[in-house]
Amino acid sequence: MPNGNDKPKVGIFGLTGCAGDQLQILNCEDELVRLAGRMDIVDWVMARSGNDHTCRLDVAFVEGVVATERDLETLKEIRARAKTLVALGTCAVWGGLPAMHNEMSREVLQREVYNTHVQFLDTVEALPPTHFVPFELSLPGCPIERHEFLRVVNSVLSGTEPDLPRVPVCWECKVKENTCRVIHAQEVCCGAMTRGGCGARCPSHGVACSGCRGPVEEPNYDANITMFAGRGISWLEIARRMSNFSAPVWMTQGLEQEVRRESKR
Amino acid sequence: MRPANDVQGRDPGASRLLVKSDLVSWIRRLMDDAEVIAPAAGAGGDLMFGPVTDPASVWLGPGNPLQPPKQFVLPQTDPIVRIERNGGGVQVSSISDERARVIFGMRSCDARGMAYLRRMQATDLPDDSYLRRADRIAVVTLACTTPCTLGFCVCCDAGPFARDGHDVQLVDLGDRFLAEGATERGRAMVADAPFRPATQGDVVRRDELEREAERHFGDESAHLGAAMRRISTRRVAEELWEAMSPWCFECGGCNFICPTCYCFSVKDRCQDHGWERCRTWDSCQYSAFTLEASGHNPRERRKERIKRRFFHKVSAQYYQRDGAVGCVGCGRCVQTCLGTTDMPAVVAAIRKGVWHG
Repeated sequence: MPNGNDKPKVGIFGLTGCAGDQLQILNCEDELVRLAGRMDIVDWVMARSGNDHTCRLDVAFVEGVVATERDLETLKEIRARAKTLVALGTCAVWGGLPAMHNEMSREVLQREVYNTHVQFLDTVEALPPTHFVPFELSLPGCPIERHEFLRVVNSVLSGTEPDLPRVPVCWECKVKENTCRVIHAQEVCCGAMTRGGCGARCPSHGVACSGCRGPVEEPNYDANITMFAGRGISWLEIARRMSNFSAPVWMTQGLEQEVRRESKR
Repeated sequence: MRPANDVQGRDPGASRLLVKSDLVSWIRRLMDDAEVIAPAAGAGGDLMFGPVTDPASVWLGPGNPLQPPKQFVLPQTDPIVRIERNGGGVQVSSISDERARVIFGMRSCDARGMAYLRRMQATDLPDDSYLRRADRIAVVTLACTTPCTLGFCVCCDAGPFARDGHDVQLVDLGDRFLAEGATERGRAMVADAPFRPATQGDVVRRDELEREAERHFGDESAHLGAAMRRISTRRVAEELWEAMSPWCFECGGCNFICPTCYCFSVKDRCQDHGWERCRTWDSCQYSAFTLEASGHNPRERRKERIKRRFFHKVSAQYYQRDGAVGCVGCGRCVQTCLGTTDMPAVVAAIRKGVWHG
């Protein structure tokens, strides 16, 4: 076992977000001690004090979106410090929930949520860190799956590429022999558009996939929308369910127009 | 053309009778020597194949489980090799599953599927681990006297009565079953009491039922021969696959429930003292299926993957290699496809040269 100085230096950072992905790392209770044995976590504000905020990092994990100018500065600093930068969670990879209503102006959002008198907000359009700086690896999930995180850590430490699924949620849902939420329950299930790896968590509990892990490589939104509509589901319901996560990526122009038309009716 | 072991060429002693009240005791007897697998209602009410604990729960009524019995010869995750640390080196040992099993109440389409899989695994580098497992499985089929609504087995010469792949076929004659042993093993299974010889009348009735069943199919049909001719004569336009491609949702459902799909991936499962190299189900519709280590993907676009799937199922090249068309007409893909790229729809598109979505 190498001594503390030989171990790769690791930093874990959160931009704007719920810190759920960092919490998931802490939730790896059984593996945390072994993890600490293999790497030296030098900068992790959420979990330790006496952090080193300036040293070079071998690996940096970043979660959350860039929603303020300060976030962007922090992100650039991390990028400059890190050899390998890993995006953690759907926010960091795709934008996730914070990017859900990017098409509305910040003033409108501020008014709707905080009223007009609030002074402290300095937000900009919420965009994923992957939009600003290059990342070596992306691990989507809301929150991330622990086993996938451990797999990524393992391969980063051994210099290989992690074998993360590039298939839709349907893959694990079908092999689990779940009842299809679309075919048997006529629900808007985003499984076919969403990247798998979660073990089809929601459909396995009888809940349609909300798409929290972000899109697969070749998602066919248009056909999905037409398919749902063909099953008698209203456009508004389709739009609501599909736009929960990473709206800018997920929504097609056609659907947005339909939603607008339907809300006027 | 029907295979030599077909029931039509039966010898007089091959047809036996089983009174329905004796069915449970027969299943119980089979359970003494082997694990019996049969369709039964699962916890959620769905029909599914599973090991029988209570012979009375075996379902021999209408309907076929959505999951074919493929998983008993080709499990989702099938450990084939164990790799263990042994001092400084590693020790490699093969894992095999040679349990005696009876799959009971399978339909003709699935029996044809099992025969197809076995033929594929036995030719061109035989897979011993597969064959050892498959050869210990006896197949008791139940003839479909009422065809299912989505099935089109007549188009594939796979039903409604069994053609190949079965050891015993049961035909429901009301208060009794006609049991036909198709193989040596099957004939032995139905040789003793409570089975008794069938009468001429029963055999005549069985033939009537088969002809009747052949006339009562639902709307689904697949003119596979016509489609195969168009593929062989290069009359399928690229644009057809392009038009079709948005209608596949890449869920992989068609592959997993297909009785003849066997393509797999190889994954290592980490154990405490080593690894298990496993064969796992995979789907040719996923972009990761053909992705190479270099990052190159020979079938990057979905249209190429759909084309590949149906080429494997329907083309003359594979018909010659596998000895049968790669579809048994069970209609499961019609039931499970999220989009519209199921076998009858695609065969119709190939045949007519147009895709309607």
